[in-house]
Amino acid sequence: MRSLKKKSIYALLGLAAFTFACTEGFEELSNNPNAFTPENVTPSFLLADVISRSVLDPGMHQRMTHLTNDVWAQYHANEGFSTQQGLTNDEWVSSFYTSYHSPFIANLNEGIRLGWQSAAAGQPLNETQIAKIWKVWVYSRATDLWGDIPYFQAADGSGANPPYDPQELIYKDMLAQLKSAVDSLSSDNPAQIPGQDYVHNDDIEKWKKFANSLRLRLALRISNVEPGLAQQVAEEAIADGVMTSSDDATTVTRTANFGWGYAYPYTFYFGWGSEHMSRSMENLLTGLGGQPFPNPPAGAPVDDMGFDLPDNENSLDPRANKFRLGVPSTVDPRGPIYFSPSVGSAAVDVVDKDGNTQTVNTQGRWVGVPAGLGTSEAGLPEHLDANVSKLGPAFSQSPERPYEVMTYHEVCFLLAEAAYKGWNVGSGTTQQWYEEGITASMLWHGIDATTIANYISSTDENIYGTTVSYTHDSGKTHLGSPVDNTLSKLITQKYIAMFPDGGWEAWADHRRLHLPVLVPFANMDSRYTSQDGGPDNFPKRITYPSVEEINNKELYDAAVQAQGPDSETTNLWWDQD
Amino acid sequence: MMKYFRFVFLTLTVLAAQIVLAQGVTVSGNVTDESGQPIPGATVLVKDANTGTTTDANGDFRLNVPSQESILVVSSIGYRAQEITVGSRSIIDVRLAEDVTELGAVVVTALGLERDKKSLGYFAQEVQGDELVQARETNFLNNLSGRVAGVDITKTSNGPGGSTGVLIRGGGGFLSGSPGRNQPLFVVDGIPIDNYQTATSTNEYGATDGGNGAQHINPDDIESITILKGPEAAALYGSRGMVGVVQITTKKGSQRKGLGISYNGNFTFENPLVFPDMQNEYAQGRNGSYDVLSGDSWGPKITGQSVTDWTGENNPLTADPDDLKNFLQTGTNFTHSIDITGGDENNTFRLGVTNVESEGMLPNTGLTRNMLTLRSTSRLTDKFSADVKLSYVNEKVKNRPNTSGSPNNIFAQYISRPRNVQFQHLDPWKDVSGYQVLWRPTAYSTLKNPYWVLNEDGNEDVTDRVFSMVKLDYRFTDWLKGFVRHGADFRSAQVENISAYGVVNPAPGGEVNFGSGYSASQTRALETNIDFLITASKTINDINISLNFGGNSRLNKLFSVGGSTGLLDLPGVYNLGFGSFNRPTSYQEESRIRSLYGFANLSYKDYLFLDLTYRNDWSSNLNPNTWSFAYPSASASFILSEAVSLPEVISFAKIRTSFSQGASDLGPYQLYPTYSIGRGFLNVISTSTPSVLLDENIKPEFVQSNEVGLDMNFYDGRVGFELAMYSKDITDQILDLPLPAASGYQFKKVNAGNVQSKGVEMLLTGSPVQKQDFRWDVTVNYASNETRLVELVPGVDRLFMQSDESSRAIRIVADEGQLLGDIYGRDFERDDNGNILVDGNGVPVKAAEKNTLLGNTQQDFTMGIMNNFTYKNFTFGFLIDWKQGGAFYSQSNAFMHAAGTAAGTLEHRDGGLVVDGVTADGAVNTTEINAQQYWDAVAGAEPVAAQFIYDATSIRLRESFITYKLPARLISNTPFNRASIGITGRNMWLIKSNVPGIDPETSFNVSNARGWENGAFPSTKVFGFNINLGF
Repeated sequence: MRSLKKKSIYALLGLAAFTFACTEGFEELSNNPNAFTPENVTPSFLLADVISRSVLDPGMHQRMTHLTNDVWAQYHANEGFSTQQGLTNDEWVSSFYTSYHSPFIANLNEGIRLGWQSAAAGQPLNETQIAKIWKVWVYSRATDLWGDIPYFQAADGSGANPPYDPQELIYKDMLAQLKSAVDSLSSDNPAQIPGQDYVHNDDIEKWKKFANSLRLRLALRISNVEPGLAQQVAEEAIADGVMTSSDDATTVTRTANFGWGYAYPYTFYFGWGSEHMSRSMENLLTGLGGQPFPNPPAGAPVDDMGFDLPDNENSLDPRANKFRLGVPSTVDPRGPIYFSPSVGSAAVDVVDKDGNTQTVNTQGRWVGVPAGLGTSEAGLPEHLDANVSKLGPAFSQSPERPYEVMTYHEVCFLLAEAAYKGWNVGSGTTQQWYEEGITASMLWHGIDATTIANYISSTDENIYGTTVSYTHDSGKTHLGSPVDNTLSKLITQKYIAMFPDGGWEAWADHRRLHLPVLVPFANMDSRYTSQDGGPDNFPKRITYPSVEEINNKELYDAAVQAQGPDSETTNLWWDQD
Repeated sequence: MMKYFRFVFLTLTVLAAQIVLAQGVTVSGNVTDESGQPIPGATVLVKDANTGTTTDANGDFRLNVPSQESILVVSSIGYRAQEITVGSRSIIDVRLAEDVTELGAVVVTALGLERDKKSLGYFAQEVQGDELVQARETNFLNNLSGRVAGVDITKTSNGPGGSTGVLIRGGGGFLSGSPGRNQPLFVVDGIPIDNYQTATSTNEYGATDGGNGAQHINPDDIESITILKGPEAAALYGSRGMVGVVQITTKKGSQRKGLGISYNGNFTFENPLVFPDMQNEYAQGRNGSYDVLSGDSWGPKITGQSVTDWTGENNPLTADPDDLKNFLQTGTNFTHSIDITGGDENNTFRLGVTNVESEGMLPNTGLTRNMLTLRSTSRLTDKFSADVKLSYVNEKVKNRPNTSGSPNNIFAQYISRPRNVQFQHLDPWKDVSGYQVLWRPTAYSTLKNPYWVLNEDGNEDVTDRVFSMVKLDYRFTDWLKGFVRHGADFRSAQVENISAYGVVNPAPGGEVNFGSGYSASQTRALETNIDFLITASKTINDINISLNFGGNSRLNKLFSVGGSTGLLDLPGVYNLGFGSFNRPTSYQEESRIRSLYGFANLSYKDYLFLDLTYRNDWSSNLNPNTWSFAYPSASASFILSEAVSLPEVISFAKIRTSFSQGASDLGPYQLYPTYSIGRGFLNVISTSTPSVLLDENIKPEFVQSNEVGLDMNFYDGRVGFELAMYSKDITDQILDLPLPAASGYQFKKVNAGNVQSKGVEMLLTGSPVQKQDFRWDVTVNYASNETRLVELVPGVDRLFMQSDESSRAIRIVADEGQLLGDIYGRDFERDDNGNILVDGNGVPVKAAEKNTLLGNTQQDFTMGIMNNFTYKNFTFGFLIDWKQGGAFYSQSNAFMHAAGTAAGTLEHRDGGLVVDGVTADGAVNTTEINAQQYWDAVAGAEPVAAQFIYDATSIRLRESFITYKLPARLISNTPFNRASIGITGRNMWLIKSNVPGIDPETSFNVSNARGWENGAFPSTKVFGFNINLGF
């Protein structure tokens, strides 16, 4: 018993001592075994993350690309959110604005900083320059959405709160950054970690071509407000070497089924009742180039004139208030690839203009939906998801289709516009680059050479009167503007060619040039002063996240003071009308 | 770990086999109450010796005492203790008087220490174990509802095994931190238990609820629960006790002749308490026309007409008011519980075995739980005793329902499905190819066939959990004693989820395998606590002093591995190595907290009491400059009725006050920046900068609480009350403060803020009738609490308690100067005079942003009224649970009105609705619209939330029961020596509610952002039987 007592006293003392050794082993426990510490990080890892996210993060792709840019560019319509009334969705914008700075910009800046350290230590990295290029691409999208945004001191790693910078200065710096990146990229620098560059597979020449092509894109963007600088930058970029074939295209190929947010987003939106063809697309594609509608659905009527519907659409749309079945006889050959005829149903009741119910077969309709539908109109059978044309399987069912960041056909149209402006584009005329752009786009979508040739020479008009043939002018106008002059043809073709990932450019072009002709938005929010298809009928920017006004009021107020009211109808610096 | 369990088993075996020779005198006896009913579990102690026992189920005890001079102290909670000198007797029967004056009541307080209730300087309320097993639910925490002042129980309505939240005094008011921080610490026999939380998603897009950790405590093992509401508990438990402690004491064996065996059987049946309020007159379509492709019920009036429906066949349109009712089955919950105890004067043991089989109301869902507890106490020498316990729980849950807006949430789908598309039409759920059959094929990614969900998709989880405790007590001298205790809570859980192959996109070229996948994970979690306590106590004249010194060393470890397949390659094959995109994951975590503490209990003449405590913690989650932190507490009570002579009518009066502080660290790995590791596209290594700007010098957060109280009894305890008023400030909270996004960080970790809770709690007890055969007891508890964000950070005055994207309808925020939990949402667009604006078509315009304050989720007060009637062998009782006030947002109603399925959409189907509002030019609106136009504009995913916000007040019959104790003569010829049967009901009657078709208690999460529902699983009413047998 005595020994037991002794033992227990020792045990007690031992335990007390154990507890007393209070912080023994604590230091090791503070290391997180589940993540990288700063010394493990390289620019290449940071780039890999930001490139995939800045393309496909749901904040970027669903909210900003699909539901804002694509809706305002009318690549799609009736996607079911208030953006179709020209309103910013504050939650999306907050989410995007946040993820845009952290991690996109924070990652890129960190990568650039690490790159400088490496260069200072004697090993310059191409990854530093690629981070600079990608940062310009990301920033150009952001400033085209908002105008003035924090740029020069944003996300610099200190946690400090940077001021908003004027769009003019941002653009000028972006152009300078691209130039410096092109000048610094060198095939002599080995890839930091081979195989990490899933965009250009460590082909430094392609990164240079992308940077120069981006300079050309941005130069044209500012060509109305800074014509001299624009021309100088464009000519320099062309001389430095822009993309010369579709092999040079900058695309991001995802891995199939990467999970929500990074999987191919169009498969999700498709099932959510989105991805409808817009009426503008229908109007632009129908009849253009005069090629027969390939494999029309069995039994579908052709060139159905339709019956009258109650007047609830904007009658400035040439195809408004008609219920048409089936498909058009001729179409731009890309049209049926972009959009499939409706799934529909054999017997759907539709109320016509006279209030009579007509039972129709809505299967195999190749029709679009007008922009700016109100909630009640959106639910009418003529506009219902199943009864209209939707994104084709080449996009909606192809998880491994690369996302197009910048394509050769876009570069062709940029060169065509530069030539049209009389800038020195090296070789080629406006017509040559226009036709090369169409050809590159059609080849990109697998259309055969004969069809392309027939298309390029066609003088068949679309719904508005636009034709393909460079030398032909139908002389038609819509809402007072010519629809078949050179610039109109050019931007119409660029608009069509850049589908589906080019909504950002399409909206920017429409803000800059009011081209191509788009269906006027109906039911726009009251802050839009017209519904006539003029500039005041279209959104010009998105608003800042409302949380900025709460958490960052002083700097926010200064930005509003400098740029104008924080409204969708306020013009950006490069878009003066 | 294995080593440790082997040790526990060995000890148990040795103890059970141990035979210690009896010395001295053996006495036996029976303990009853004043009416002669046996008191099981009463404590019989030998005064000033380390020996004693408890009575068995029949109130019998048997005990070895050192000598005839020994004094027995017989006590039981709720009764006045008695001291009896043994003398020459060998049989001592004791009759205990009920102690309503609480003079003799003993409560279990922090560290598992028993204290006289009268000496406490704070409000500690008790619940007896038998109150929890009368009308069982699978999560016993639900049985606490309405019983304790200031303790709000929220059941998530997520089927068998779903979570239950416990909010004490409003949940403490943490602004951020790990999920479930508003939940109290659970402590069983002095050992903390991991009450892990899974229902933490505040997201409208859906999640599953994997239950909360505390439900693995077997209610059959529970002797009593003490709820320590204030941070008095924190003063000794440290950080995790900051929002209160649920202190559970489990049963021990008792000394007796032979084995005491008892059986409890509980059989309950559950059905929905309220059904969503649906219309049954209009069919699928819009604008009054039938449309087979529409997802709405704005179609034609159902008159029996035939249409070509979604099956492609001609069928008459029908609507079935009982559609949901017929689809659901009666949920069942069968519990069998066996309790075996035995022991002699030195050793006791108890074996408890419980089996729970539960089937949900949704077919093919259910829970099986087996629980086993073995406990043994042993007096090894005069001075040395041991208490050893091992509990094992095995739980298997099949098909936990998906919550909120998930396509797999059958209720969310049902409430907006066209009324003519009924459950019965959706069976069979697959076609000849094995692909899903859907009534609206184009919506394959947002809708699912409910039978597909229940039969093809699914989830299953299996949890094994072991709780162990070894406590060794040693009495050095008559004034010095100590104990060492080791406790472990080990959990191993596997979770599987299946999204079956065969969801078809009907478009040309469409996929046939949308969103399929399989995931599985295995998690091991361990918490161990080793603590010791040395107590010295001395009585000098009228002063009693007890000084205590102790320490605790806590270890937490977590390791989990798992993976997912991406799209399934083939139907029916669920293997992590087989899919389009196999991804393994792993995660691990380890942290330690070590503590030392001292406390002193001083009393003068049994009427003046003073407690002082001081604790210092060292946390591995902080840095060397901050990882040591200390906090004190003090409490005092003065029993007026003992100190001075009071009027006859006052039998007991006590005033008390307490002051305490507590502090809390943060989770592991939050001091130094780390970069996420991942594999991006084409399998490249990908990482990103941290989104939170960390501060390695972050300090512990700090809580300070003050409480004053008054306890009084009148007329010899026939009437009494306890009153508490408290305030609590949590300052220096460790929170993620939003930074302007352009800084490159989303948040900055800071110490900031002050959240203050203030409240009043009251407990009223009375016995209006006390006759020989009839007795009526009433207990009323009342609590009101207000939690306010007093101060945030200069320049920031709002924190989101729910991420802004979690709901498209509302946001729940904490605004500086306001009560926590303000609900903001969209209102109608209004003119300067507050009139609703209508557009040119007469349709109301909704505001663009969610910026209108619609209400606050905090309740005005809660009240529980318990009535107990005893007549001869019958006991009848009922509990009314009243929750007053608070705002509640129902997203289900918003979806039902948008879809035209709500009964509220029947009016004005054919027009004639003139919205009371004005047009843009200020003229009074005169344009008629119809119901569809109105609800199109007002309801839906982004509704005018003001239209769907309700007062959450509810009054319900929470519990009712009748028990009949079979008289001894009826069972004298049976093997039973005790038998009773009972009929029980829970949640049988929602007496008052303002929310149409939805129980305002419904929630899908237990976070701070409560007060709203989406696609709620109906709450249930439970009816059942209870049988108790003693052998």
